[in-house]
Amino acid sequence: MSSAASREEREALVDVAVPAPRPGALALGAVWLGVAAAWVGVAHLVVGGRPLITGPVETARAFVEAGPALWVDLAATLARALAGLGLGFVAGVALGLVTGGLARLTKAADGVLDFARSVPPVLVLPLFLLTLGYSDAARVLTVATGVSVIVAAGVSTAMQAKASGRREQLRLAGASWWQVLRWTQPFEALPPLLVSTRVAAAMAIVIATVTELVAPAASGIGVRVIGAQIAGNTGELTACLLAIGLAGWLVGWPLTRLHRRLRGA
Amino acid sequence: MTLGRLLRATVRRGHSVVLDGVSLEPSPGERLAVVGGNGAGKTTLLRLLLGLERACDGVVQVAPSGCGYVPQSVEDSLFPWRSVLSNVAMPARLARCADADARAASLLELIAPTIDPRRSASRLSGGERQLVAIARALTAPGPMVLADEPFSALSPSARDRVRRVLDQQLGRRALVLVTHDRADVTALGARALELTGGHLEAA
Repeated sequence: MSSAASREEREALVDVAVPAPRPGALALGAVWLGVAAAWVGVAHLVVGGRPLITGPVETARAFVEAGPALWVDLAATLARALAGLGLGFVAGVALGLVTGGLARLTKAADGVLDFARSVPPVLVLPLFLLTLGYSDAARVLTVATGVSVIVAAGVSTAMQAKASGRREQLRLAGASWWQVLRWTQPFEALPPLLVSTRVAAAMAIVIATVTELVAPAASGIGVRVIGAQIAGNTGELTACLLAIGLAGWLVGWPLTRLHRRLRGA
Repeated sequence: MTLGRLLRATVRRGHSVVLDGVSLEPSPGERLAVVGGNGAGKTTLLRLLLGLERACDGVVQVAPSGCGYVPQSVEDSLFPWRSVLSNVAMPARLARCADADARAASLLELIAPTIDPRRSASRLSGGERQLVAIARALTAPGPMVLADEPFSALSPSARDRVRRVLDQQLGRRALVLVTHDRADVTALGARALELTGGHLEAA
């Protein structure tokens, strides 16, 4: 009876999320129309005798002129960002589990994490360049360093994200630490973990691009940005901005969806 | 067997004294109802007995593990990602009772017959959450049930039904009930104690 009920119950477990009203197509269209209008508006701004960015038509032309090479550069940047994100995520989760799991360490770790968060991740790039040379390994490790701090802070917070009422009920029922972990942790930890992963994913792309600007690589969107800046090609610069934004959206979109689903938003 | 004991327990919060030398020792099967105004310290008294709060003076012998507890705020005490049945069966499952689920199901049937046990606990109304919390407290295998205003969100008919079920299902278990409603005291045949000015006296 007991095992049958458990199986039945497992099947019946309903998603925590309560579907929220989805933004209507009209609202979504209005937002994108607003963005396009703002883009055209800014494209008409002339700063120092030059437009700050190009308008939609000129940017589309720049995309066409750049051809597949732009997407190859974007792929190179994304590859570095994702490799760094993967490494940093593993290191951050391990660090966060240790600091968040041990109550006494948590307070001490807060200070360390605040300290680490204040150091721009790109500042560690010269250290890696000195030890590893101008290599992708140095760039990936720089991304991983930045990501690991964000993820560690998120995991550490997630480890403490147990509602006191549930913790009390488990404690009164004589639950072991493992049972408390099993009954609460995966579910309560997921939302803060997803938030930090979303931030870390965006940051990974930012850091990967900046490492290419600081220490030029054979390929990458940062390299292309420097080239476009030297050539005074505003159209290509705008195209690079859009491409990197698109990459960020593509990486962040599944995480955002999952997070909204869990929040019931 | 002792069910927990407070001996001249004092709790202070800043400069204010919440409980001032309070003594309480429930006996097996005894039903106690603690009444008193808002902020009198009733919830603190219950939590002290459960070991969820600390006294700054006096002796506190905490209630044994496995006692049922209906907190005043049930919302964050339920596990919204689990089913109603899983929530109700939780104390018995953790105590490795063989019939945990069957026991939980039958109590749910008595206390909240309209709630599907397989439903997600995240989709319960305020009153339903309170019913589930009461059923969970009764599923706990310990020798005492402590309930902090357990009927506050219930409709009059549900309140009557749950009082009856609680009365029948307690068996030899002790009950410490915090309530504002004297009708609860009468319906459960409890001995009323009044908490005023941090002191506990027979009402």
